[in-house]
Amino acid sequence: MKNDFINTSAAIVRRDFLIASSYRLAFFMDTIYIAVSVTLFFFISRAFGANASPYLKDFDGDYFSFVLIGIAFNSYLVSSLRAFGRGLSLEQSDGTLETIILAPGGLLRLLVYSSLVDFIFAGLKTIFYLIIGAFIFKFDLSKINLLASLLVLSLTTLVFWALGIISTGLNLIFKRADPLGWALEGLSKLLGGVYFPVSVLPAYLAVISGILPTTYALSALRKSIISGASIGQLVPELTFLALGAAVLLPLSLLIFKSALTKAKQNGSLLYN
Amino acid sequence: MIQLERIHKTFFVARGIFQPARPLTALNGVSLATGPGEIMAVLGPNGAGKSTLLKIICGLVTADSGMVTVKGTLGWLSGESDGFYPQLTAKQNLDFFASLYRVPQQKFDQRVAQYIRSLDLKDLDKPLWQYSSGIRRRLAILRILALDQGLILLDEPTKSLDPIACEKLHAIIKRLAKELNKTVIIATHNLKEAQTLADCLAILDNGRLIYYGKSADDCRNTETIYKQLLTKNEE
Repeated sequence: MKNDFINTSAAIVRRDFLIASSYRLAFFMDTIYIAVSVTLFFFISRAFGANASPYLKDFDGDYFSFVLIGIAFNSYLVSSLRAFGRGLSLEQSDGTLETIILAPGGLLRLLVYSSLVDFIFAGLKTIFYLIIGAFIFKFDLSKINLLASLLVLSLTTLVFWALGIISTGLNLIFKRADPLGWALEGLSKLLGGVYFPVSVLPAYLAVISGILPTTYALSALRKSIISGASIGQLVPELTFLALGAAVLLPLSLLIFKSALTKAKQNGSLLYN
Repeated sequence: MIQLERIHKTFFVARGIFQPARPLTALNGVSLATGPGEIMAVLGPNGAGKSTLLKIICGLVTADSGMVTVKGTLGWLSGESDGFYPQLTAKQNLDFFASLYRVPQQKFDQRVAQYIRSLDLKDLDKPLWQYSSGIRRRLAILRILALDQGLILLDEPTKSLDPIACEKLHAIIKRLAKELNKTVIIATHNLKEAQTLADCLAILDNGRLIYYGKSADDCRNTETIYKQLLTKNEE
Protein backbone atom coordinates (compact mmCIF):
# COMPACT_ATOMS: atom_id res chain seq x y z
CA MET A 1 0.00 0.00 0.00
CA LYS A 2 2.74 2.43 1.06
CA ASN A 3 4.89 1.32 -1.89
CA ASP A 4 1.96 1.74 -4.26
CA PHE A 5 1.47 5.28 -3.02
CA ILE A 6 5.15 6.13 -3.43
CA ASN A 7 5.51 4.49 -6.85
CA THR A 8 2.31 5.89 -8.30
CA SER A 9 2.76 9.40 -6.95
CA ALA A 10 6.43 9.40 -8.04
CA ALA A 11 5.38 8.33 -11.56
CA ILE A 12 2.77 11.09 -11.75
CA VAL A 13 5.12 13.73 -10.38
CA ARG A 14 7.78 12.64 -12.89
CA ARG A 15 5.25 12.76 -15.74
CA ASP A 16 4.09 16.23 -14.77
CA PHE A 17 7.66 17.53 -14.47
CA LEU A 18 8.46 16.12 -17.90
CA ILE A 19 5.36 17.75 -19.38
CA ALA A 20 6.10 21.06 -17.62
CA SER A 21 9.69 20.98 -18.86
CA SER A 22 8.39 20.88 -22.43
CA TYR A 23 6.91 24.34 -21.86
CA ARG A 24 10.09 26.17 -20.82
CA LEU A 25 9.08 29.49 -22.33
CA ALA A 26 5.87 29.53 -20.26
CA PHE A 27 7.93 28.87 -17.14
CA PHE A 28 10.33 31.65 -18.05
CA MET A 29 7.44 34.05 -18.68
CA ASP A 30 5.88 33.17 -15.31
CA THR A 31 9.17 34.09 -13.68
CA ILE A 32 9.28 37.41 -15.50
CA TYR A 33 5.65 38.07 -14.53
CA ILE A 34 6.50 37.53 -10.86
CA ALA A 35 9.48 39.89 -11.03
CA VAL A 36 7.38 42.56 -12.79
CA SER A 37 4.54 42.24 -10.25
CA VAL A 38 6.86 42.61 -7.28
CA THR A 39 8.55 45.64 -8.88
CA LEU A 40 5.17 47.19 -9.70
CA PHE A 41 3.96 46.90 -6.12
CA PHE A 42 7.27 48.17 -4.77
CA PHE A 43 6.79 51.44 -6.64
CA ILE A 44 3.09 51.65 -5.78
CA SER A 45 4.12 51.21 -2.17
CA ARG A 46 6.73 53.98 -2.44
CA ALA A 47 4.23 56.36 -3.99
CA PHE A 48 1.14 55.67 -1.87
CA GLY A 49 2.28 53.38 0.96
CA ALA A 50 2.34 56.12 3.60
CA ASN A 51 -1.45 56.60 3.22
CA ALA A 52 -2.02 52.91 3.96
CA SER A 53 0.13 52.81 7.11
CA PRO A 54 -2.65 53.66 9.62
CA TYR A 55 -4.55 50.56 8.48
CA LEU A 56 -1.51 48.28 8.71
CA LYS A 57 -0.66 48.50 12.42
CA ASP A 58 -1.13 44.74 12.86
CA PHE A 59 1.47 44.13 10.16
CA ASP A 60 4.21 46.56 11.22
CA GLY A 61 2.79 49.34 9.04
CA ASP A 62 4.68 48.64 5.80
CA TYR A 63 2.51 48.41 2.67
CA PHE A 64 5.15 46.69 0.49
CA SER A 65 5.56 43.82 3.00
CA PHE A 66 1.79 43.62 3.31
CA VAL A 67 1.09 43.43 -0.41
CA LEU A 68 4.08 41.18 -1.21
CA ILE A 69 2.70 38.49 1.09
CA GLY A 70 -0.76 39.10 -0.33
CA ILE A 71 0.21 38.52 -3.97
CA ALA A 72 2.74 35.75 -3.25
CA PHE A 73 0.39 33.63 -1.19
CA ASN A 74 -2.73 34.44 -3.17
CA SER A 75 -0.95 32.97 -6.19
CA TYR A 76 -0.26 29.85 -4.09
CA LEU A 77 -3.88 29.64 -2.93
CA VAL A 78 -5.26 30.03 -6.45
CA SER A 79 -2.90 27.28 -7.67
CA SER A 80 -4.04 25.04 -4.79
CA LEU A 81 -7.62 25.70 -5.76
CA ARG A 82 -6.95 24.89 -9.42
CA ALA A 83 -4.54 21.97 -8.91
CA PHE A 84 -7.12 19.24 -8.72
CA GLY A 85 -9.20 20.42 -11.66
CA ARG A 86 -6.14 20.95 -13.82
CA GLY A 87 -5.29 17.26 -13.46
CA LEU A 88 -8.72 16.26 -14.73
CA SER A 89 -8.70 18.72 -17.65
CA LEU A 90 -5.24 17.50 -18.67
CA GLU A 91 -6.49 13.92 -18.89
CA GLN A 92 -9.64 15.02 -20.73
CA SER A 93 -7.82 17.17 -23.28
CA ASP A 94 -5.02 14.65 -23.90
CA GLY A 95 -7.56 11.82 -24.25
CA THR A 96 -5.86 9.78 -21.53
CA LEU A 97 -8.77 9.69 -19.10
CA GLU A 98 -10.01 6.26 -20.27
CA THR A 99 -6.60 4.70 -19.68
CA ILE A 100 -6.23 6.49 -16.35
CA ILE A 101 -9.66 5.40 -15.11
CA LEU A 102 -8.97 1.75 -15.93
CA ALA A 103 -5.80 1.84 -13.79
CA PRO A 104 -5.94 0.51 -10.24
CA GLY A 105 -6.52 3.09 -7.52
CA GLY A 106 -9.46 5.02 -8.90
CA LEU A 107 -9.72 8.45 -10.44
CA LEU A 108 -9.90 10.41 -7.20
CA ARG A 109 -6.63 9.03 -5.86
CA LEU A 110 -4.84 9.57 -9.15
CA LEU A 111 -6.04 13.17 -9.33
CA VAL A 112 -4.85 13.75 -5.79
CA TYR A 113 -1.36 12.56 -6.79
CA SER A 114 -1.62 14.60 -9.94
CA SER A 115 -2.13 17.80 -7.93
CA LEU A 116 1.21 17.32 -6.13
CA VAL A 117 3.27 18.92 -8.88
CA ASP A 118 1.04 21.98 -8.89
CA PHE A 119 1.65 22.40 -5.19
CA ILE A 120 5.38 22.09 -5.74
CA PHE A 121 5.35 24.67 -8.55
CA ALA A 122 3.02 26.98 -6.61
CA GLY A 123 5.32 26.73 -3.56
CA LEU A 124 8.38 27.51 -5.70
CA LYS A 125 6.64 30.54 -7.21
CA THR A 126 5.75 31.84 -3.76
CA ILE A 127 9.34 31.43 -2.61
CA PHE A 128 10.46 33.29 -5.75
CA TYR A 129 8.14 36.21 -4.90
CA LEU A 130 9.66 36.39 -1.43
CA ILE A 131 13.24 36.06 -2.69
CA ILE A 132 12.82 38.93 -5.15
CA GLY A 133 11.17 40.99 -2.42
CA ALA A 134 13.94 40.26 0.05
CA PHE A 135 17.01 40.49 -2.16
CA ILE A 136 16.05 43.33 -4.47
CA PHE A 137 13.57 45.39 -2.47
CA LYS A 138 14.81 44.72 1.09
CA PHE A 139 11.69 42.92 2.31
CA ASP A 140 12.50 42.06 5.92
CA LEU A 141 12.31 38.34 6.68
CA SER A 142 14.37 38.51 9.87
CA LYS A 143 11.40 38.20 12.27
CA ILE A 144 9.73 35.25 10.52
CA ASN A 145 8.33 32.52 12.74
CA LEU A 146 8.88 29.62 10.37
CA LEU A 147 7.01 27.00 12.37
CA ALA A 148 3.89 29.15 12.70
CA SER A 149 4.05 30.11 9.01
CA LEU A 150 4.34 26.48 7.92
CA LEU A 151 1.45 25.47 10.16
CA VAL A 152 -0.75 28.22 8.68
CA LEU A 153 0.30 27.26 5.18
CA SER A 154 -0.40 23.54 5.76
CA LEU A 155 -3.90 24.18 7.10
CA THR A 156 -4.60 26.68 4.32
CA THR A 157 -3.42 24.17 1.72
CA LEU A 158 -5.85 21.58 3.09
CA VAL A 159 -8.74 24.05 3.00
CA PHE A 160 -8.01 25.16 -0.57
CA TRP A 161 -7.31 21.62 -1.71
CA ALA A 162 -10.76 20.60 -0.41
CA LEU A 163 -12.34 23.62 -2.12
CA GLY A 164 -10.50 22.63 -5.31
CA ILE A 165 -11.95 19.11 -5.11
CA ILE A 166 -15.46 20.55 -4.65
CA SER A 167 -14.87 22.94 -7.53
CA THR A 168 -13.72 20.05 -9.77
CA GLY A 169 -16.79 18.05 -8.75
CA LEU A 170 -19.03 20.95 -9.76
CA ASN A 171 -17.04 21.26 -12.97
CA LEU A 172 -17.79 17.62 -13.79
CA ILE A 173 -21.49 18.50 -13.69
CA PHE A 174 -21.54 22.04 -15.05
CA LYS A 175 -18.56 21.55 -17.41
CA ARG A 176 -16.79 24.79 -18.30
CA ALA A 177 -18.67 26.80 -15.72
CA ASP A 178 -16.84 26.63 -12.40
CA PRO A 179 -19.01 28.72 -10.05
CA LEU A 180 -17.11 27.96 -6.85
CA GLY A 181 -13.62 28.52 -8.27
CA TRP A 182 -14.75 31.71 -9.96
CA ALA A 183 -16.43 33.07 -6.81
CA LEU A 184 -13.57 32.14 -4.52
CA GLU A 185 -10.87 33.56 -6.73
CA GLY A 186 -12.74 36.78 -7.39
CA LEU A 187 -13.97 37.32 -3.85
CA SER A 188 -10.58 36.51 -2.37
CA LYS A 189 -8.90 39.17 -4.49
CA LEU A 190 -11.57 41.72 -3.67
CA LEU A 191 -12.38 40.94 -0.05
CA GLY A 192 -9.70 38.55 1.22
CA GLY A 193 -7.08 41.20 2.00
CA VAL A 194 -4.74 40.48 -0.91
CA TYR A 195 -4.08 44.08 -1.96
CA PHE A 196 -5.50 46.11 0.92
CA PRO A 197 -6.35 45.41 4.57
CA VAL A 198 -9.90 44.17 5.16
CA SER A 199 -10.30 46.81 7.88
CA VAL A 200 -11.07 49.38 5.16
CA LEU A 201 -14.14 47.44 4.02
CA PRO A 202 -17.64 48.64 4.93
CA ALA A 203 -19.48 46.44 7.45
CA TYR A 204 -21.63 44.61 4.89
CA LEU A 205 -18.59 43.57 2.85
CA ALA A 206 -16.62 42.75 5.99
CA VAL A 207 -19.20 40.05 6.69
CA ILE A 208 -18.31 38.27 3.44
CA SER A 209 -14.62 38.85 4.08
CA GLY A 210 -15.09 37.19 7.49
CA ILE A 211 -16.10 33.87 5.93
CA LEU A 212 -13.36 33.70 3.30
CA PRO A 213 -10.46 31.38 4.18
CA THR A 214 -8.10 33.72 2.29
CA THR A 215 -8.74 36.45 4.87
CA TYR A 216 -7.62 34.23 7.76
CA ALA A 217 -4.76 32.64 5.84
CA LEU A 218 -3.24 35.95 4.74
CA SER A 219 -3.75 37.60 8.11
CA ALA A 220 -1.97 34.74 9.90
CA LEU A 221 0.80 34.52 7.32
CA ARG A 222 1.48 38.26 7.55
CA LYS A 223 1.56 38.17 11.33
CA SER A 224 3.92 35.18 11.42
CA ILE A 225 6.20 36.35 8.59
CA ILE A 226 6.33 40.13 9.19
CA SER A 227 5.86 40.36 12.95
CA GLY A 228 7.06 36.87 13.95
CA ALA A 229 3.78 36.04 15.72
CA SER A 230 3.79 32.75 17.64
CA ILE A 231 1.31 29.91 17.18
CA GLY A 232 -0.45 31.07 20.37
CA GLN A 233 -0.99 34.52 18.89
CA LEU A 234 -2.59 33.01 15.80
CA VAL A 235 -5.21 30.88 17.55
CA PRO A 236 -8.28 32.60 16.00
CA GLU A 237 -6.98 32.21 12.43
CA LEU A 238 -5.66 28.68 13.03
CA THR A 239 -8.96 27.59 14.58
CA PHE A 240 -10.92 28.89 11.60
CA LEU A 241 -8.60 27.15 9.13
CA ALA A 242 -8.51 23.87 11.11
CA LEU A 243 -12.29 23.78 11.39
CA GLY A 244 -12.57 24.63 7.70
CA ALA A 245 -10.25 21.75 6.77
CA ALA A 246 -12.07 19.32 9.10
CA VAL A 247 -15.46 20.13 7.57
CA LEU A 248 -14.47 20.68 3.95
CA LEU A 249 -12.21 17.66 3.35
CA PRO A 250 -14.82 14.93 3.96
CA LEU A 251 -17.47 17.10 2.31
CA SER A 252 -15.30 17.57 -0.76
CA LEU A 253 -14.76 13.83 -1.18
CA LEU A 254 -18.49 13.25 -0.86
CA ILE A 255 -19.31 15.91 -3.44
CA PHE A 256 -16.65 14.68 -5.86
CA LYS A 257 -17.82 11.07 -5.64
CA SER A 258 -21.45 12.10 -6.20
CA ALA A 259 -20.41 14.26 -9.15
CA LEU A 260 -18.39 11.40 -10.61
CA THR A 261 -21.37 9.06 -10.30
CA LYS A 262 -23.58 11.68 -11.95
CA ALA A 263 -21.08 12.25 -14.78
CA LYS A 264 -20.94 8.50 -15.42
CA GLN A 265 -24.72 8.37 -15.46
CA ASN A 266 -25.10 11.18 -17.96
CA GLY A 267 -22.12 9.97 -20.01
CA SER A 268 -20.21 13.24 -19.85
CA LEU A 269 -17.15 12.18 -17.89
CA LEU A 270 -14.77 12.27 -20.84
CA TYR A 271 -15.69 15.75 -21.99
CA ASN A 272 -14.86 19.13 -20.60
CA MET B 1 -14.64 -12.98 -20.17
CA ILE B 2 -17.15 -10.19 -20.80
CA GLN B 3 -20.86 -10.71 -20.37
CA LEU B 4 -23.67 -8.19 -20.70
CA GLU B 5 -27.24 -8.99 -19.72
CA ARG B 6 -30.22 -6.83 -20.68
CA ILE B 7 -28.34 -3.53 -20.62
CA HIS B 8 -30.48 -0.41 -20.81
CA LYS B 9 -29.16 3.11 -21.09
CA THR B 10 -31.02 6.33 -21.74
CA PHE B 11 -29.32 9.71 -21.99
CA PHE B 12 -31.09 12.99 -21.54
CA VAL B 13 -30.21 15.44 -24.27
CA ALA B 14 -30.51 19.14 -23.44
CA ARG B 15 -32.65 21.14 -25.88
CA GLY B 16 -32.26 24.61 -24.45
CA ILE B 17 -32.44 26.41 -21.14
CA PHE B 18 -36.24 26.50 -20.90
CA GLN B 19 -37.09 23.17 -22.54
CA PRO B 20 -36.99 19.86 -20.71
CA ALA B 21 -34.24 17.46 -21.77
CA ARG B 22 -35.24 14.87 -24.39
CA PRO B 23 -34.68 11.19 -23.52
CA LEU B 24 -32.52 9.30 -26.00
CA THR B 25 -32.34 5.54 -25.73
CA ALA B 26 -28.72 4.55 -26.33
CA LEU B 27 -29.05 0.86 -25.43
CA ASN B 28 -32.22 -1.13 -25.15
CA GLY B 29 -31.91 -4.54 -23.49
CA VAL B 30 -28.60 -5.57 -25.05
CA SER B 31 -27.19 -8.97 -24.04
CA LEU B 32 -23.81 -10.24 -25.32
CA ALA B 33 -21.01 -12.50 -24.21
CA THR B 34 -17.51 -13.12 -25.41
CA GLY B 35 -14.44 -14.91 -24.13
CA PRO B 36 -10.72 -15.58 -24.61
CA GLY B 37 -9.46 -16.03 -28.14
CA GLU B 38 -12.55 -14.43 -29.62
CA ILE B 39 -13.02 -11.19 -31.52
CA MET B 40 -16.47 -9.70 -31.32
CA ALA B 41 -17.37 -6.84 -33.67
CA VAL B 42 -20.12 -4.48 -32.57
CA LEU B 43 -21.39 -3.04 -35.81
CA GLY B 44 -23.77 -0.18 -36.37
CA PRO B 45 -24.18 3.22 -37.99
CA ASN B 46 -23.32 6.44 -36.13
CA GLY B 47 -25.44 6.80 -33.01
CA ALA B 48 -26.32 3.11 -32.81
CA GLY B 49 -24.88 2.80 -29.29
CA LYS B 50 -21.55 1.05 -30.02
CA SER B 51 -19.31 3.43 -28.10
CA THR B 52 -21.79 3.62 -25.22
CA LEU B 53 -21.67 -0.17 -24.99
CA LEU B 54 -17.87 -0.15 -24.76
CA LYS B 55 -17.90 2.67 -22.22
CA ILE B 56 -20.35 0.74 -20.07
CA ILE B 57 -18.07 -2.31 -20.15
CA CYS B 58 -15.11 -0.28 -18.91
CA GLY B 59 -17.08 1.74 -16.38
CA LEU B 60 -16.90 5.16 -18.02
CA VAL B 61 -20.68 5.19 -18.28
CA THR B 62 -23.07 3.44 -15.91
CA ALA B 63 -25.99 1.44 -17.25
CA ASP B 64 -29.50 2.27 -16.03
CA SER B 65 -30.23 -1.43 -15.60
CA GLY B 66 -28.82 -4.82 -16.49
CA MET B 67 -25.71 -6.70 -15.48
CA VAL B 68 -22.11 -6.25 -16.64
CA THR B 69 -19.64 -9.02 -15.80
CA VAL B 70 -15.98 -8.45 -16.58
CA LYS B 71 -13.40 -11.07 -15.63
CA GLY B 72 -9.87 -9.88 -16.35
CA THR B 73 -8.03 -6.61 -16.83
CA LEU B 74 -9.35 -4.18 -19.40
CA GLY B 75 -7.34 -2.39 -22.05
CA TRP B 76 -8.77 0.44 -24.13
CA LEU B 77 -7.94 1.87 -27.52
CA SER B 78 -9.99 4.45 -29.32
CA GLY B 79 -9.72 5.96 -32.78
CA GLU B 80 -10.35 9.37 -31.20
CA SER B 81 -7.28 9.21 -29.00
CA ASP B 82 -4.42 6.85 -28.30
CA GLY B 83 -4.37 7.65 -24.60
CA PHE B 84 -0.82 8.99 -24.59
CA TYR B 85 0.65 12.31 -23.51
CA PRO B 86 1.84 14.04 -26.70
CA GLN B 87 4.66 15.94 -24.97
CA LEU B 88 6.34 12.79 -23.65
CA THR B 89 8.32 10.26 -25.65
CA ALA B 90 6.84 6.83 -26.36
CA LYS B 91 9.21 5.31 -23.80
CA GLN B 92 8.31 7.88 -21.12
CA ASN B 93 4.62 7.26 -21.80
CA LEU B 94 4.97 3.49 -21.60
CA ASP B 95 7.02 3.66 -18.39
CA PHE B 96 4.46 5.99 -16.83
CA PHE B 97 1.63 3.54 -17.52
CA ALA B 98 3.72 0.64 -16.18
CA SER B 99 4.01 2.46 -12.84
CA LEU B 100 0.38 3.53 -12.88
CA TYR B 101 -0.81 -0.03 -13.48
CA ARG B 102 1.69 -1.32 -10.91
CA VAL B 103 3.50 -3.61 -13.32
CA PRO B 104 7.12 -4.20 -12.23
CA GLN B 105 9.39 -2.26 -14.57
CA GLN B 106 11.62 -5.24 -15.37
CA LYS B 107 8.68 -7.41 -16.35
CA PHE B 108 7.20 -4.53 -18.37
CA ASP B 109 10.50 -3.94 -20.22
CA GLN B 110 10.77 -7.65 -21.03
CA ARG B 111 7.30 -7.63 -22.57
CA VAL B 112 8.06 -4.44 -24.53
CA ALA B 113 11.20 -6.12 -25.89
CA GLN B 114 9.18 -9.25 -26.68
CA TYR B 115 6.46 -7.49 -28.71
CA ILE B 116 8.11 -4.40 -30.16
CA ARG B 117 9.42 -6.08 -33.33
CA SER B 118 6.27 -7.99 -34.08
CA LEU B 119 4.36 -4.69 -33.96
CA ASP B 120 6.83 -3.24 -36.44
CA LEU B 121 7.95 -0.57 -33.99
CA LYS B 122 11.55 0.54 -33.55
CA ASP B 123 12.29 3.88 -32.01
CA LEU B 124 10.55 4.74 -28.73
CA ASP B 125 12.51 7.89 -28.02
CA LYS B 126 10.56 10.44 -30.03
CA PRO B 127 7.82 12.64 -28.54
CA LEU B 128 4.42 11.12 -29.26
CA TRP B 129 3.28 13.93 -31.54
CA GLN B 130 6.09 13.06 -33.98
CA TYR B 131 4.67 9.59 -34.73
CA SER B 132 2.04 8.90 -37.38
CA SER B 133 -1.49 7.84 -36.33
CA GLY B 134 -0.76 4.26 -37.40
CA ILE B 135 2.36 4.02 -35.26
CA ARG B 136 0.56 5.60 -32.28
CA ARG B 137 -2.18 2.95 -32.52
CA ARG B 138 0.48 0.23 -32.55
CA LEU B 139 2.15 1.85 -29.56
CA ALA B 140 -1.19 1.68 -27.76
CA ILE B 141 -1.39 -2.03 -28.61
CA LEU B 142 2.17 -2.41 -27.29
CA ARG B 143 1.03 -0.82 -24.04
CA ILE B 144 -1.89 -3.26 -23.79
CA LEU B 145 0.45 -6.20 -24.36
CA ALA B 146 3.15 -4.99 -21.99
CA LEU B 147 0.53 -4.37 -19.29
CA ASP B 148 -0.74 -7.89 -20.00
CA GLN B 149 -4.36 -6.78 -20.30
CA GLY B 150 -6.58 -9.69 -21.26
CA LEU B 151 -9.77 -7.90 -22.34
CA ILE B 152 -9.30 -5.40 -25.12
CA LEU B 153 -11.89 -2.81 -26.12
CA LEU B 154 -11.27 -1.11 -29.45
CA ASP B 155 -13.51 1.81 -30.34
CA GLU B 156 -13.21 2.51 -34.08
CA PRO B 157 -9.47 1.73 -33.93
CA THR B 158 -8.84 2.26 -37.65
CA LYS B 159 -10.46 5.69 -37.77
CA SER B 160 -8.30 8.11 -39.81
CA LEU B 161 -5.77 5.43 -40.78
CA ASP B 162 -4.66 4.88 -44.38
CA PRO B 163 -5.39 1.46 -45.97
CA ILE B 164 -1.89 0.08 -45.31
CA ALA B 165 -1.92 1.14 -41.66
CA CYS B 166 -5.44 -0.36 -41.41
CA GLU B 167 -4.28 -3.66 -42.81
CA LYS B 168 -1.34 -3.77 -40.40
CA LEU B 169 -3.61 -3.05 -37.46
CA HIS B 170 -6.11 -5.72 -38.56
CA ALA B 171 -3.34 -8.33 -38.65
CA ILE B 172 -2.24 -7.31 -35.15
CA ILE B 173 -5.79 -7.44 -33.76
CA LYS B 174 -6.22 -10.95 -35.17
CA ARG B 175 -2.97 -12.05 -33.53
CA LEU B 176 -4.07 -10.62 -30.20
CA ALA B 177 -6.98 -13.03 -30.12
CA LYS B 178 -5.65 -16.03 -31.99
CA GLU B 179 -2.04 -16.22 -30.77
CA LEU B 180 -2.24 -14.46 -27.42
CA ASN B 181 -5.72 -15.63 -26.46
CA LYS B 182 -7.03 -12.14 -25.64
CA THR B 183 -10.71 -11.25 -25.62
CA VAL B 184 -11.30 -8.47 -28.14
CA ILE B 185 -14.38 -6.33 -28.72
CA ILE B 186 -14.20 -3.91 -31.60
CA ALA B 187 -16.79 -1.22 -32.30
CA THR B 188 -16.97 -0.24 -35.93
CA HIS B 189 -19.37 1.01 -38.60
CA ASN B 190 -17.39 -0.75 -41.31
CA LEU B 191 -18.99 -4.06 -42.29
CA LYS B 192 -15.94 -5.23 -44.21
CA GLU B 193 -13.71 -4.59 -41.21
CA ALA B 194 -16.12 -6.50 -38.97
CA GLN B 195 -16.26 -9.43 -41.36
CA THR B 196 -12.49 -9.49 -41.81
CA LEU B 197 -11.79 -9.53 -38.11
CA ALA B 198 -14.63 -10.92 -36.10
CA ASP B 199 -15.60 -14.38 -34.97
CA CYS B 200 -18.80 -13.01 -33.66
CA LEU B 201 -20.93 -10.13 -34.87
CA ALA B 202 -23.43 -7.94 -33.05
CA ILE B 203 -25.38 -5.39 -35.08
CA LEU B 204 -26.93 -2.47 -33.21
CA ASP B 205 -29.65 -0.17 -34.46
CA ASN B 206 -30.77 2.71 -32.25
CA GLY B 207 -29.61 0.83 -29.16
CA ARG B 208 -31.33 -2.44 -30.09
CA LEU B 209 -29.45 -5.60 -30.91
CA ILE B 210 -30.87 -6.64 -34.28
CA TYR B 211 -28.39 -9.38 -35.10
CA TYR B 212 -26.07 -11.43 -32.92
CA GLY B 213 -24.19 -14.46 -34.15
CA LYS B 214 -21.09 -15.93 -35.68
CA SER B 215 -20.20 -13.73 -38.63
CA ALA B 216 -18.91 -16.57 -40.77
CA ASP B 217 -22.20 -18.45 -40.25
CA ASP B 218 -24.29 -16.22 -42.35
CA CYS B 219 -22.10 -13.78 -44.14
CA ARG B 220 -24.59 -12.75 -46.78
CA ASN B 221 -27.41 -12.42 -44.33
CA THR B 222 -25.47 -9.95 -42.15
CA GLU B 223 -24.49 -8.00 -45.22
CA THR B 224 -28.14 -7.65 -46.24
CA ILE B 225 -29.24 -6.73 -42.73
CA TYR B 226 -26.57 -4.06 -42.38
CA LYS B 227 -27.11 -2.57 -45.83
CA GLN B 228 -30.86 -2.34 -45.17
CA LEU B 229 -30.10 -0.67 -41.85
CA LEU B 230 -27.81 1.92 -43.43
CA THR B 231 -30.34 2.67 -46.16
CA LYS B 232 -33.11 3.08 -43.58
CA ASN B 233 -30.96 5.44 -41.52
CA GLU B 234 -30.09 7.53 -44.55
CA GLU B 235 -33.78 7.92 -45.44
